[in-house]
Amino acid sequence: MLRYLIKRLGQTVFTLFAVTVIVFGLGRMTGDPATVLMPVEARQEDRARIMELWGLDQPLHVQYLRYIGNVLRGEFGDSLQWPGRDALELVLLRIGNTLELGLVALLFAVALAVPIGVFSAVYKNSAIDHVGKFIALLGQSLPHFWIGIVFIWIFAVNLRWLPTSGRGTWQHLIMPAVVIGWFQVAALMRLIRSAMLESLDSEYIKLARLKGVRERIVIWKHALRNAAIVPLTYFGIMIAYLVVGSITTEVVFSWPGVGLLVVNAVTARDFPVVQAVTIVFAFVIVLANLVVDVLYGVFDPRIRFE
Amino acid sequence: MRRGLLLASILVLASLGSTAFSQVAVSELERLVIALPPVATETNRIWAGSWVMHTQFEPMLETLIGNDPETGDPIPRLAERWEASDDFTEWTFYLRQGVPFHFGYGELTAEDVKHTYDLLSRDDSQVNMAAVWRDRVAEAVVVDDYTISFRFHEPYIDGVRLFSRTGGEMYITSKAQWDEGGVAAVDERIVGTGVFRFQERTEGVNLIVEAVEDHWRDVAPFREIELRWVPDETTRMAQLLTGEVHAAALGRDVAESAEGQGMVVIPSRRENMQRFVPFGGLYFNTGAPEIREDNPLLDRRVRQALIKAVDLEAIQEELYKGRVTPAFRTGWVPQHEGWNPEWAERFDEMYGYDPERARELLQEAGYGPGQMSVRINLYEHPGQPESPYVLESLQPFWEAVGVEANVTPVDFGTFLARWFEDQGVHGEVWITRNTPLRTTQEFIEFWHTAAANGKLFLDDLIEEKIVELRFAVDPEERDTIAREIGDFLFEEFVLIPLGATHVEIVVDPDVIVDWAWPGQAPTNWTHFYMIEPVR
Repeated sequence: MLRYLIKRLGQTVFTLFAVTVIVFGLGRMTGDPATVLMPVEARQEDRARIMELWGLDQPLHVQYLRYIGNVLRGEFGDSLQWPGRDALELVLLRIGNTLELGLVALLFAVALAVPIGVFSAVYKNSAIDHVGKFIALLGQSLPHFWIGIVFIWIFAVNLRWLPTSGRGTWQHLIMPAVVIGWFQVAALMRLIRSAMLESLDSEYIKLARLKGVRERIVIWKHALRNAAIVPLTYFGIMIAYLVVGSITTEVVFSWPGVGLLVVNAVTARDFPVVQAVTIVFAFVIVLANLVVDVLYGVFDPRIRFE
Repeated sequence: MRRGLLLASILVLASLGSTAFSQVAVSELERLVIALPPVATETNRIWAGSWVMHTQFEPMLETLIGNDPETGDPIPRLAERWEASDDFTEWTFYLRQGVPFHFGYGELTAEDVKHTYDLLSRDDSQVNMAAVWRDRVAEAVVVDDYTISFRFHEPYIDGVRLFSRTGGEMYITSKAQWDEGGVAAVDERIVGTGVFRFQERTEGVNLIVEAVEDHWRDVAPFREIELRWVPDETTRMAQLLTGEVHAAALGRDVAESAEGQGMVVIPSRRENMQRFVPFGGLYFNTGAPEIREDNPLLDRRVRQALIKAVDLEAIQEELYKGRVTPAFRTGWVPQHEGWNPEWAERFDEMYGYDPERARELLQEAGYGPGQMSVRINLYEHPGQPESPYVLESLQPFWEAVGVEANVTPVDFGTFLARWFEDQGVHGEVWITRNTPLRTTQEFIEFWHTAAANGKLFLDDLIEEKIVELRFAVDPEERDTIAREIGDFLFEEFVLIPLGATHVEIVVDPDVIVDWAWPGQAPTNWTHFYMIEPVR
């Protein structure tokens, strides 16, 4: 187990290193921030002066080495779009909001996907199965921003049940969390359904039924417990989707999280903030996958970490 | 013109004196919320960004010269009066006495003005007029506590605009605060003399300002104003319809829909932007970027054909909802020097919609149907939500006269970089804008000289004439030179003039009755103290 953990941590470090290279390279490929942030009237020498002040006049490898050195010290530099503000501090101030949204979205996805997946398996090819699949399909095929706008229009503008956007009360959480979570329902439901079908067809379930155990107990206790291990592996990917999904959703709902921050930063080519966000996101995703892998072994003793 | 300028400059408007009121606000609404697209740079540092970020300073900071909310004309603000030397190399300002800074930072003096000038001239200054502050101003001299002179290396005609909000960025801030805490103190809160003062800022979310009690000049209409940064236009519209915000910046399409649901569109009192589609790669001057021979736009007949192929009135009616006025010669306006009234008379003949004539011109230039192509760079220009639709609309017009129009989606920032490069945009078109507040000289310098970024149409004649204009101080001589350049460009068909638009705000009529602001500032929304609440 320990050796496995060390190996995975090594992979994590390598992954994060690769992320820094990719993000750094892609960022520079899009052009320089002075073009976007400075007025069009600025002369070439004015731009050059600012690029020098920002350290962007150096060769790329020098910029990268300086950047990676700073990152190792936890310094991402000052934001270009929010002058005087530390990029990492801006991200950390908002990551809680994004995680809050992601957690509620996750709960929503699980709350919807588990019963639909179970009932779809139990009542295979029935109306329940078809309706469940349809709901899940909609969630996965409709773009976040579009569902978000439709929800705002129905539930905020017309029905006046919920606030349109922003953060503050639990009501503010409902629409963005549903939009993000709904996307996950389809995949999670399909995994649970197939795992449940396999589980329900297994010998120990047949034995339980022969012994006269009530069907409710058979399904929700014996079958689901074993079936739940399979979707567990999906949680790592799910965390990634929740993070990615937060970007468009936070813009539509003006949710003050990292997603909204990074959209503004990308538009302004605010390299320090974009890099800080990406590293933090990558760290969260890699860590989530590591935790899932470890939990998988804990829940299923047949898995050996070697 | 010089006499007029001096008269205007020395004008003293006693009626706008420092009447003090004991009232804080006239509306019972605790906080007015205005939803706006995020500003490019959110900061308290006045030197850290361009004009487009000034909306955040407007409620809190003031300039030496103000602008009349109805006409945009210069009016005394922190300076009671001002004057220029005969040769326009020195501008002197006489400050109003007894103007207090927010949060007890003392009264305004000439040292605060000098301090503000120093900030704008810093090495890391990113303001639009940075080159003027650094290179054209020789020094700022504090004559006494309430008098300051700016000495220029060469004649500077445009001083009134430079020191007002229409052209400059000299929002006066407190030296005492800087001396006390430096940039850290400024980052904490900005100290000015405006009708509102800084209360709170959450980056990417909002800026909240509060009314100044007994302000030296005006009564704040609301106790607090929140500028809420909302990137998505549909969300801003929803917030407005549900009453979560009381005013919102919306594109014309969405604004029309909001109007249908009881909201009211308030336009700025005067035009804010001239919008146009330039033709790329027209470098005819000596030593400028080399022209590319395969660029069909080099042929004047082709340019005229592409203009005459486009039904400008249809674009103005459908995409700008008719809320646009013709700009017969972009960059020139009747109020500025060099205007030629003949342009309006000849516009239809020269630029009017005539696809048949467009085909003939293309034939004359040697381009039959399908033999010529143009690249249309498609992007949303910041502050122009209609821009991608306008660009897309060109394609069918041009294809109807046999020109292959390739619509190419691009990132605005990436395109800017290419445009500013010397070899960037041959045979291409795009959309951009110009503030009619620019003086004619400034317009020519930015768009038509090799040294600047614009490089819209370069020619030795213009390079020669602009030097003459730069050093001319006689009004008649200046007018003649500016008109000669304008005439030349009018005949050369250097761009498609889409027209001039007002900046708009959509308001909830249950909260806001009116908002008088001239639109004569590149920052779009100004004069927040002029928002008239429902009583």
